[in-house]
Amino acid sequence: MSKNKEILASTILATIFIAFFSVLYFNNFLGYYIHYRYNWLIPLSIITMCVFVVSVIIYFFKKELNFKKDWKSVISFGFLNYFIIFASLSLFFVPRAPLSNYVAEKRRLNYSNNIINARTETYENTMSGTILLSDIQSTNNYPENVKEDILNNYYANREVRVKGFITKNIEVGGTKLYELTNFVISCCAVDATTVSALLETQDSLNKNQWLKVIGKIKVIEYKNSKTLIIKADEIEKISPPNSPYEYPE
Amino acid sequence: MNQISSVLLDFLTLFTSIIVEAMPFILLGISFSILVSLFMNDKMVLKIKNANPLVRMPLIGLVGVFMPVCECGNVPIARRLLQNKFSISETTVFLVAAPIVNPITFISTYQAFNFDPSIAWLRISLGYLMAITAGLLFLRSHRSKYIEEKFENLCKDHAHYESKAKKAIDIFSSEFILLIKMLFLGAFIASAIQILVPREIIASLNNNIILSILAMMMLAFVVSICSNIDAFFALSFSNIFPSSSLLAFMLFGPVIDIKMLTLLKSTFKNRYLVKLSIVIFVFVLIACLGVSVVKK
Repeated sequence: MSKNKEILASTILATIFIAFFSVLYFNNFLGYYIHYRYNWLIPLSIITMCVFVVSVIIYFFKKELNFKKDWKSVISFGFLNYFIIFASLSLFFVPRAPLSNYVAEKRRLNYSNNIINARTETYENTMSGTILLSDIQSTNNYPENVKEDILNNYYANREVRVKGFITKNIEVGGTKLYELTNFVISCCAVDATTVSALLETQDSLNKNQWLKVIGKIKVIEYKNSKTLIIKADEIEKISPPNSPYEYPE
Repeated sequence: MNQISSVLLDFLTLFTSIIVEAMPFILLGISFSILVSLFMNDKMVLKIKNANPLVRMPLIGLVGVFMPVCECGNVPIARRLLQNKFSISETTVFLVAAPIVNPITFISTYQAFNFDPSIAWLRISLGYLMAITAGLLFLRSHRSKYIEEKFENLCKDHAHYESKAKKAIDIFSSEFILLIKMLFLGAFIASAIQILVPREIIASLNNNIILSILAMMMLAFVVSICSNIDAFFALSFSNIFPSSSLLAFMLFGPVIDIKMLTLLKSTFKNRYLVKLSIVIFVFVLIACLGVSVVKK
């Protein structure tokens, strides 16, 4: 490919990405893909690509770049370049959605209790802090690491405000419980790890339904160990939010 | 039908996520590469090249300290080094060391593993040693054996530019279009594998130290996560795997993963990628086994 054609193809590609990144950034869609602490990288990328595109335009008007011939023979861009341009364009039409139940099942692991240790230390210092689904899951996964007084003093009856989606329902001692699931991401959706907690409610809920839950932590006996669940006070059925996951600091 | 649509949606979300996460670093890398090209003249290159090789190689291993971009951003810089007639061996030292021996990676590893700071120190020192070892193994390698012909021809092409801005436009356009193609390919393969392989298969290999090191290397290969932040991801496995396996993840991943290999393919022949992968694999396995014995 001639130099001019290469510049033309990359200018088209850069323009597509400027538009695509702007759509994600200004409509707050980045939460589906990356941790919010990296959001600033997107405007930086937009600026870098804008500098390139503007420079090309300036040189074009200064007649130091001549695309006339290349416009006519645009067909010889090559299959791969066309493919990348169309693939980039198709990114605009991909429905913006957080990861679903399917990936949640593939990524079910026992989440590390190092998070919970750090958070209980914070609690002892400040007596505050928001409880996340990851806190509840790590406590349930490693009951041997959590002292009973922490369960009772730190967790029992504490208010929780969490969001997530329903992955399954089970019955424990005659009570119908739902599994409320979400993901924790440290960098981007690629590293998303599933976290979940059981939810007690009178409402009837469907699989994959996104919810905003306000409730209190309840300690129950489940599978021969003390388990934290959420007793819902208020449940709001919602569409997947723009910042759907848990983003640890 | 519902299942198929959610699989497809998840695939597209993961694919977009890799593109959105990697693109800023690639652009940053291209910008650094343009700066190197504009401000590093032949005299400077000659001065570096005339320095004692025993000093030169360790110094190149420290370049990442001043260019703290993740591994995908290092590819355009490595290409620029090769174009400035740096050897395969020196470029390899840079490629392996820069994503690990850099301040952002060190700080994030230190923060993530603040309950055991030795992990951050081990990562940076073993990463540096790994880079020098890999560089030494490519010491007598000829460029033609390992570099793609197309790229080698580009290195020989000394175009004359009327202005620095014109040169910058030229470099940006050729690097951008090539690396975006490779990124799309890498993102496609990485997201397809992530959709198909359940993580619990990898996590179930934690009952034996060798298997657990291999499992974490495999995870690093599949996940293709940015080296500046991978420590936080590794942290979530700290209850399932011993620290030596987490170290394997943090040493192997920044150099060898699906996304990185496809990006490197823009410049290197398959035999380079295979040799580099084997060298890094063996080094990480031996080093992490050593760590597991010492840290018992």
